Amino acid sequence: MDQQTIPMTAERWVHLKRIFEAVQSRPLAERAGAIRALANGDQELELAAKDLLAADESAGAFLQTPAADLHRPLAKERVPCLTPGNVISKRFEILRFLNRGGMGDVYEAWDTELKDRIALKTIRSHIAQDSRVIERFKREVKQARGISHSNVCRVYDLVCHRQTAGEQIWFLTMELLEGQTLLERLRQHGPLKPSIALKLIEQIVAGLAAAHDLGIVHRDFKSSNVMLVETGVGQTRAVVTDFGLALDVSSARAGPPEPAGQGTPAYMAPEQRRNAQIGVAADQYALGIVICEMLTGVRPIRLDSTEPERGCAVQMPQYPLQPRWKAVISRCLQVDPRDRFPSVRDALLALNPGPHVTVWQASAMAGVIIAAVSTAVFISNGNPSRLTGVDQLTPATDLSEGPSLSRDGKVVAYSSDRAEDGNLDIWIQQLPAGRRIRLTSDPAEDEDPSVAPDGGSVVFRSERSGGGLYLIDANGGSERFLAAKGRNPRFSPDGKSIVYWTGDEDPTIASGRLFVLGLSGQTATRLVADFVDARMPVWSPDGRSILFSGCRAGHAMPACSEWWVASLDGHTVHNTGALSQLAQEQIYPVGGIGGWYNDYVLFSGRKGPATSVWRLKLPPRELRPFDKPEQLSSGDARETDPSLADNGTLAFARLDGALHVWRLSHVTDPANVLASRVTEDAAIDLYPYVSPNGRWLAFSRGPGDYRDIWVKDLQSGIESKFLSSTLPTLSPIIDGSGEMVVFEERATNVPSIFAMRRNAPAKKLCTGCSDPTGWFDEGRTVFYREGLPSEIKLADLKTGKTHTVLAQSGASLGEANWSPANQHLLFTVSKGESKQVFAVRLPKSTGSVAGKWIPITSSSEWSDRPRWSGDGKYIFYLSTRDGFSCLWGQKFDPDTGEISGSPFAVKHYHNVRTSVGIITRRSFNLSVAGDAVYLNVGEESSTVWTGSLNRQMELPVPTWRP
Amino acid sequence: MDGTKENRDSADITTLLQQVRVGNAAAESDLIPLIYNELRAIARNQMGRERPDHTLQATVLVHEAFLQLVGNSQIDWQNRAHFFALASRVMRRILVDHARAARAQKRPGAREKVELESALAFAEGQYAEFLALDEALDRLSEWDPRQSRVVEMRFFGGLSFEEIAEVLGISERTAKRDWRMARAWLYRELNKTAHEDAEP
Repeated sequence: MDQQTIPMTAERWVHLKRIFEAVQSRPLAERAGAIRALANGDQELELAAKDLLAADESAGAFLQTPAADLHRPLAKERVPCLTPGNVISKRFEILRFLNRGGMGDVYEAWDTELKDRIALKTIRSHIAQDSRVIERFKREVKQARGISHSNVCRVYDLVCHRQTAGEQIWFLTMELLEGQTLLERLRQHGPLKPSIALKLIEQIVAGLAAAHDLGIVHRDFKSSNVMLVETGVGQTRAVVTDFGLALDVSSARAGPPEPAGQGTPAYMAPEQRRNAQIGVAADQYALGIVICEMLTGVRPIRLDSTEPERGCAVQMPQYPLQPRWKAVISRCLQVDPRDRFPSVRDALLALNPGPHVTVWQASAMAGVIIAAVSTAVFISNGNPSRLTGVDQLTPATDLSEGPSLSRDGKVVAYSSDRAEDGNLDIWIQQLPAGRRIRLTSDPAEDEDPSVAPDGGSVVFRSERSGGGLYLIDANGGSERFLAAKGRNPRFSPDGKSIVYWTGDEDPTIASGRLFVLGLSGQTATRLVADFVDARMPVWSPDGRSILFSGCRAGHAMPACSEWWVASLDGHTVHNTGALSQLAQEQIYPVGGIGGWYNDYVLFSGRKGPATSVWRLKLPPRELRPFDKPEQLSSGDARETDPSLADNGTLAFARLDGALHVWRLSHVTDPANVLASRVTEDAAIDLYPYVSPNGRWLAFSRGPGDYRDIWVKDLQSGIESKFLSSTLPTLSPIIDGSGEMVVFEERATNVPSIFAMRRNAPAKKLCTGCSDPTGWFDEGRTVFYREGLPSEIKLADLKTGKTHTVLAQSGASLGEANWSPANQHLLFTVSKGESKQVFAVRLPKSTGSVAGKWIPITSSSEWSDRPRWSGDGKYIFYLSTRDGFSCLWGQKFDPDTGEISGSPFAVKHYHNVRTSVGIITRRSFNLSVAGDAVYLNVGEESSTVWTGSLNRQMELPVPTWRP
Repeated sequence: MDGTKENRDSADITTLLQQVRVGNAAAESDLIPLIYNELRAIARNQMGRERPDHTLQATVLVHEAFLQLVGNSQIDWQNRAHFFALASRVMRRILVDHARAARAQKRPGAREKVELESALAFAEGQYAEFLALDEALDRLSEWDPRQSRVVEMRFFGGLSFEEIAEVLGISERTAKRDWRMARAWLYRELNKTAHEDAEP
């Protein structure tokens, strides 16, 4: 029961307050008496006051921490996050804080590379934390960078700077413009005289038109995005800023922010308000508003009532305007884009048909101009990073990867699409901040560079003419062909030889062969020829042996793979047991081994959801691992390709972006192929498999190793989780009922195949087997592969019985895909560095193959994932025949059992940013229902980073001792 | 058009804030949905990010809302204080609505509404406390609305006493005295309530 019976009123409260405040400063002993005296005989008030004072004493931290601390941003606002003198990304020295925009802070900075002052705009965290936004930003910046016009603000780069461990700032660099905005000018001085306005409009139109010529839409043109820069006595340059950088970051829509115009709806064209599908005509609308603003000082008012489909839906200001101006503005502001001028140049022509004067007598203007688009982002995470001074070396606008450092750490080579969007070439750069020099320019991809220890030359892999290794001088010049099919080349510590491997990139297909090649005209020598697979070699620190990932004998890869060390003379081969130890720690190496420096092997490894740079102690004299592996980088992006120099500089690549499932429809008619994204979420979606009836799509989803199996009903679009797994799950296949899924699961590198009915426990079909690739008897028997080299087998889901369908000694068979329509089986044969597609007759009635193998692709090209079309008349497969991983088709005549005509390209993926080539071979799948293909496409970009290994780690300074 | 990012430019917001400052209640009720929608829009963008464990600091949220709505237009700190005072009211409503929904274990029929709230970082155990606090604040405002406002701004908005004083047109000292008494009374009220709830 509440002791208080008299209800509290304002009067009683004031009385209570008086007592409370009077008594609280008194010593405890006097309080009771004082309260009684002040309560004036009101016992209840006396009690309430006592309670209140007691509560005051014991309340402690009660309510002291705000539920939402809104105070700090207020305080923070006065303190910019970067301070003058800060040098960020080893290149930009902050000179002063300029302003705060809607998306971040703007600073004046000194660019040590351009040797000029620039504007540096940070990007606010909630914008940059969405990787899709950053990806979009990258594209926009890349595009905007292409506009070179004196009336358009130059955009340089989008860079990510890691401030301290775990904190990063994204920022844009651009031309520094000093002056004031057109809006500020209008607010200060009112409307402009038509003759003066015209001079500005000429420049603005020239800037807009230059961008429009390149197909770039501003999307957020307005008077505050026009800078007026004094260029001399009374001369003014009008500069359009923030081209294409408008992002609808506040949109309530689900999904990534769209680059729709916003910010200032008063300038938005009707079509832009309705949807994001806009063209250059939207900028013309905004131009109309700005012209009106320039002449009258105010913007026209939009008539909000039902907008007509044609005509003009604004009310012009009550201001005397020349008819010609009025007519031009009104035509710019037409609701239907088709009713506007054909281009902004035509608007200008209509305004100013005659010759004109070229000097605008502007009044002096002061201050520095700040554009609206900018942003600041601090992404913090709790992941450990043993590296200090971690910095982004290559701009986020470029896709750059595979860094390799010279021994002294002063030269880095990497592959990048900096010069040609989407096409990788080899680049070289002095550290810490030299100019980037392009070494190669072949239209095919050049990648995996290894720079010579002295920095004087680079060996790399190129996809040109079937793929191989090339050597080029660091100063440029001609490229020297070294070896066909070679991968992951590495310079020896003395710079006189290279080691490389050939074979299938898929680490589960036994095919890798190691070679050492002297660079002064020798022929390549094969190492460890008795291994069924050997790949990813690196030199020992003394250059006398090779560390590699290999399988000597066993039942399945990668379970049988280990890190071995072989002496160059071939006398000793030693199993280090390192991979087993890594597997115990649940760390799985990704890509090539980074290098072996003194007692440590550096590599990129996946643990749980994160991929980061690791090192493992493996002393060359002991050849077995010591201590636990140590994570060196943060793992908050996929971090790969580590390279280390003597001075402790570490270079690596960070991959960002998304992998989603795409659908290509009408694939039998390449001219009309339609590509659309089927999955959209933020996770990574792999191994798409569509049920033969086209109704269900199974795929695995999740970051890193944590993958769940999902099923999407392609009819309703509903996605549901089929299986949660803490182990890697791969290659799910689903039947036409959407109820039965067969998949591979890997426990510590050992694959098994399971079958599972929805909501029922999974049943293991076999161990040491992998890749369920499709149905034979749908829902009952399934194809998979097993053995080393692998055979194609069939498993019966009900009985658990298995039997071999196809095998060939010395070759790995896989990718079995059977067509009920033509009773033929498609499969791949991997032999050495070739992977070829064959078909063979396999009648349902007998269940065993009959007749000869029919070659579908040639042995000279690398082909993979062959799939039948629904009618059995076409074969679709992945091929690198043109130097890229692209989707190809081949007509097949079921009656004669022969291919007809030449292969045709269904869809090219030559742009590395939207590509299937960048997806790990193991993670990719291709699946067909009818004439629709489902496959995963990576939309990724990567950047090269450098850092320094912390001395406190007691890492011995790496030395090269040839 | 949806109501988000209402088609106003920052000049309108500044004008509204000035009207709030001179006590125009209509301007206040115009602004509150704007702030709420802005918070929601930002939070929803945040929710689309890849890291599912990420919580959203209310601080950042309101700050973003301020910048989104007011932008970089010239605005003095008094107006800013008024904005944050309003935002603290919105934050209170958001937190309390969420606590109520969580307690009632409402099905996410109103998923959209819960989206923002679930992006806020606070412990589950605090739900009951939020609700009790909200009710107590309502009662307090019956006889001392100013004290109730002080707590709202201080606890739900994290405003400094200087800012609270500016918003309420009182001295900083008065603001601190209001805070001390209200806090003591609330502390007692909440403990009392908890005690009564615990009784069979």
